[in-house]
Amino acid sequence: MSVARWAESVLLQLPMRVGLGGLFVFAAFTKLSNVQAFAFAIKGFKVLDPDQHGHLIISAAYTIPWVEMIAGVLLILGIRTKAATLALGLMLVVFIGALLYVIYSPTVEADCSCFGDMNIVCGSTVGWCQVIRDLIMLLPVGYLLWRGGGNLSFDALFDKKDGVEKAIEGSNQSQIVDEAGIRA
Amino acid sequence: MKCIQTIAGVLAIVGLGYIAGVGQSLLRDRPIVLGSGSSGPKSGTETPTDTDLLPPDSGTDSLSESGVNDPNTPSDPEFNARLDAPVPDGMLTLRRAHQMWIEGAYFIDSRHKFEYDAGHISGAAHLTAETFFSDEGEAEIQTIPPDAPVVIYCLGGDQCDASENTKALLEQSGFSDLSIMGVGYDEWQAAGLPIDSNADGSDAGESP
Repeated sequence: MSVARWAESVLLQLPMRVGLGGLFVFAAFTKLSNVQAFAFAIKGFKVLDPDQHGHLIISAAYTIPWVEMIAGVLLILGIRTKAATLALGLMLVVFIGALLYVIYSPTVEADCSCFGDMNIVCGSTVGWCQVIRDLIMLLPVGYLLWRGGGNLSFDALFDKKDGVEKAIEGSNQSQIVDEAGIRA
Repeated sequence: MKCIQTIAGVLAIVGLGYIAGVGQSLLRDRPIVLGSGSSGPKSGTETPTDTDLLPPDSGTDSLSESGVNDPNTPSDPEFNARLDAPVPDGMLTLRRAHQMWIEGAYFIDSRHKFEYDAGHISGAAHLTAETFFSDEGEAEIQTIPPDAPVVIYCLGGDQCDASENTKALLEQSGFSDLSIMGVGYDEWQAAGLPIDSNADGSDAGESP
């Protein structure tokens, strides 16, 4: 295991995981503490008609914060890093889509409620600032999807064990190649 | 293979989130309200004439103590035009809202906290969906009798969901006499009607 890989893990992957995961856990916490307000916020985006699809708004209001919370915790700990990162990345893409929908609707003016009633970097009203903020958050998402959680993650612990077992069994060629690549 | 594992992981996370959300919704003691539909002009069930039936002696609270600050002569045509500016169906005109203010109706500001702090209708309380379940929100609600006339306002127009949301929450809490001011705070201020601001803590009471 090379020094470069440890350095990458300490300097890039761990801060990215804790930063991104922490941000989502915090966002989830603010929403979970007032699901009612978040339901109003989703209604405010006017993507769904509350008279016809009110049930979808309500289930989204309950589900989205919990997905953020679970994926955020998994990301911080580095358990199933790629799955957690992909989940957060897909949510960011959906959020960006919703933000663009609001920005390009001349009649809709909505509050982001991204972090409940708290404003981080951007103001409360939906605008390009939130889109840029979400796009910036997609950068670590892309990096983590590409490189994985790094050495300082539970994944690395489990993978190493798996790798050794599989190497012993000799059943998984690619894993052995992977391990060899890591040692090199 | 790794790719399929990742996708399976994403689905597992979403599924767990959904189950957790279902669990939370079962534990919640009051259902989520969404209020009325938000697209297009609403056909309100209540008309401004409903509120004309208010008893004139309904103003027994502290709101009316600050006195009526009649800023203009009623004959001023520009002032009258402001008071009678058209509002969406089922909402109060500025004239009616001001009359209710004189009569001592409770006013609720459903805009953002910073907007409220910068200036609000004199005597109005701040209450939004965000603060509704907080301690200060609960305290505000406690001060209002359930059958007292309540006027909710925000930035105005039919795009102002915040008033509808606060109204839906108050309805759920058992308040019966709720109206929404069709025009926003800016119109109230522009007409020179009484306002407060938290910035200096005193009654701004701007007169034109």
